[in-house]
Amino acid sequence: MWLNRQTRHLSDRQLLDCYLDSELAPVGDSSPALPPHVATCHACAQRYADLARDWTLAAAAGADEADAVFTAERLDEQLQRIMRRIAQHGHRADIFLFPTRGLPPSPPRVAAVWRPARWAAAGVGLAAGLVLGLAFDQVDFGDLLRPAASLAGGTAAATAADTDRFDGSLAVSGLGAPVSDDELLDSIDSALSTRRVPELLVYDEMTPERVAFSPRLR
Amino acid sequence: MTMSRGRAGGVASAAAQPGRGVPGQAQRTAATPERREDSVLAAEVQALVAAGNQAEARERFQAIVRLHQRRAVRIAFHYLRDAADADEATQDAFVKAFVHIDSYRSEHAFEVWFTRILVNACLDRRKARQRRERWLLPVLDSGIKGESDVIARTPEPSANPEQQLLARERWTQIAAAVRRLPPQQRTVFILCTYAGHSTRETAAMTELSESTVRVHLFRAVRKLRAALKAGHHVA
Repeated sequence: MWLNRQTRHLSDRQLLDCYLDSELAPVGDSSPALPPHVATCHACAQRYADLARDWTLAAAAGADEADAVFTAERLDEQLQRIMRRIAQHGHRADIFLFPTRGLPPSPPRVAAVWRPARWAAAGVGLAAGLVLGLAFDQVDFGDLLRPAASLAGGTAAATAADTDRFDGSLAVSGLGAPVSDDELLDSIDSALSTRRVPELLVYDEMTPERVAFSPRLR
Repeated sequence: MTMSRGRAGGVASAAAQPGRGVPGQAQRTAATPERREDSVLAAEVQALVAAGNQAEARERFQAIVRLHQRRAVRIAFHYLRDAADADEATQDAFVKAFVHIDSYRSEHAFEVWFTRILVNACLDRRKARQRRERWLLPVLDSGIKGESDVIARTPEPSANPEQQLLARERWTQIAAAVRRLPPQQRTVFILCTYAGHSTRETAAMTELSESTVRVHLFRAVRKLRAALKAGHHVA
């Protein structure tokens, strides 16, 4: 251990380290020997003794102070409380029903009307309508409107050819060839009867079918 | 006078006489048996809980509580400076230790694991108290604090009245100086002095490095000794 060059003694920090290493070594470790300087230098030995005395005093005073508050009886009580809490852990709390016998009937409850909630619901509805309207506006209805326009005797570009081609079928934008009403209805029936939407399959599985619970259909 | 782990006593007289061997070495005791016993017990409790034998596990855990209760209340009391809070924090720590016994690693010391839980419980309690003090009226607060301010320390019967008075004054100075320490210094000091943990154990409990613990401890000791010297000069 290096000594201070000017004083030729251990610094306070070094002395504390010596003390901690020798007196408070971890459990199971062998405590290292004090540096020989402490054993040979009277001044450092005295400082070490002072440090040890103050440490001892602080430790003892602190322990005494706590022990004066936490007496043996109090510790016993505390132990019982701890064990009770541990025993009760994981148990559901008992629910006591409120006694209703012998009590006068409670006045009818008036349904709370919260007007702002209604206004909020109306606002949300309006907003949803607006969004749907805007989305509706984005759909290409050119093919749908063009025959109507031509039937009404509209522009020259959509006249004879368009009118001849129009046979009552609706062209859905992006789907290619127009389909007839029957084909469209058939496709809707088919979609309703088959389980094609993966997200809804779970709900389908959970939904009981009439056959399952109706004896007449079995 | 109660000693912490019985390690620090009698060093002063030996160290004051240079050349008479190594001071303090003779006072060291072997590893405290309870320290090993608690880890063994904790491993048994863990196994019993895993096997579903709660009643037996609780019985074994009671032995662990008995081993650590005194040290735990000392730490909690000096940390919180309030008897009721210290009582509840200690209870919380033991209950938590039992409930989470499955997360205890038997290769580590149970005491280190438990003390970390205890320090966290004390921190929670202190935060709760700060919230309470922020929101409650000062009038209500005066009834909560307490027992620590009216402790009558029993002096040693052999000491004469003057010595008793001096010892009490010195002890009051120490307690006041510890209270004034910054939080980390106070935590480290409490764990090392009042609970008698080594700096390595304290480092594991506080999740600081051992060198940082030593720095905090050195600063704390320096401040306390300065406070004691100042008090001595005033007296």
